Amino acid sequence: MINMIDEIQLEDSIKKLAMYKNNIDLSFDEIKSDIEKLNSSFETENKNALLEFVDVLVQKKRIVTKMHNDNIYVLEKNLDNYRRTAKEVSHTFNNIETKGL
Amino acid sequence: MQVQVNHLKTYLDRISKSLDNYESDCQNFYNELNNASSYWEDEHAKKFFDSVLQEKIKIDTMQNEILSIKDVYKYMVESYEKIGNKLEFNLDLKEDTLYRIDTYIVKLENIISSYNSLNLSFCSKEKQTIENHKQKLIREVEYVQKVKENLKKTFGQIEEIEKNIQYKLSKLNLEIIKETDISGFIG
Repeated sequence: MINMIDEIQLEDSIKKLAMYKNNIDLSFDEIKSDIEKLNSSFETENKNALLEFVDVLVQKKRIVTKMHNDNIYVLEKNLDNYRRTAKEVSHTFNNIETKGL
Repeated sequence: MQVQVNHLKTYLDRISKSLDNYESDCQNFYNELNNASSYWEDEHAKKFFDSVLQEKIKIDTMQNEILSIKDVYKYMVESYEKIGNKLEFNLDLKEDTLYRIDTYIVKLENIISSYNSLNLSFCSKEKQTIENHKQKLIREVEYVQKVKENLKKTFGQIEEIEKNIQYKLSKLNLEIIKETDISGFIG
């Protein structure tokens, strides 16, 4: 397994992911808001059952949002750790060069 | 029960458009995650991107679930639209309403019978006027019977729609999803 991170591309990906995640959240908020308005336009025998399904979907979306945030966090964290390690390695090499160790 | 079909149609159209956007945003998100797999390669990355593949399946399932629920709403709109644009009725009063109509019809029929039993031989002048009134009542009975039949038909349609919605909902089974433990993905 090659251990590598393309910092610039990964950073760019993280930015795009954050943008797409926001779009997902906005689209779902619109769906949720329109379903609420739709639900206020009728009272029928099965309304409560429908509302329960919608509630489950909203709960699931909360978990999906957490998953998406976690995905971005994992990439950010690994990029940060990679950069910190790279800096430490570079610092160590500099020390070796300057101190002749 | 009350249904405002035109409102339902408006919001359903909006939901369809937002759902298209949602699907395309999700697709973009996971395409980008797939791209990111080329920019980060190690043991943690392998575990992470394997998990993302599993996650994508759950997301696709959820999208299908949203579509299924939207289809139930769509069925409701299309079915109630056939009855009318705005429906409002207390269905608890269904039997009582039909009973009252029946009672009204019986009363009218009794009056018509009374007309039939009248001896009009001694009042030829009034006979035509009375006959006209009787015919008017017969037409009224026919009209009220039609109203009653239409009402019964509409009640039947509403029951059928709700029965079908209940059936569609009983076929829906929303999958439970759990958060992913990300601790193994960070190096």
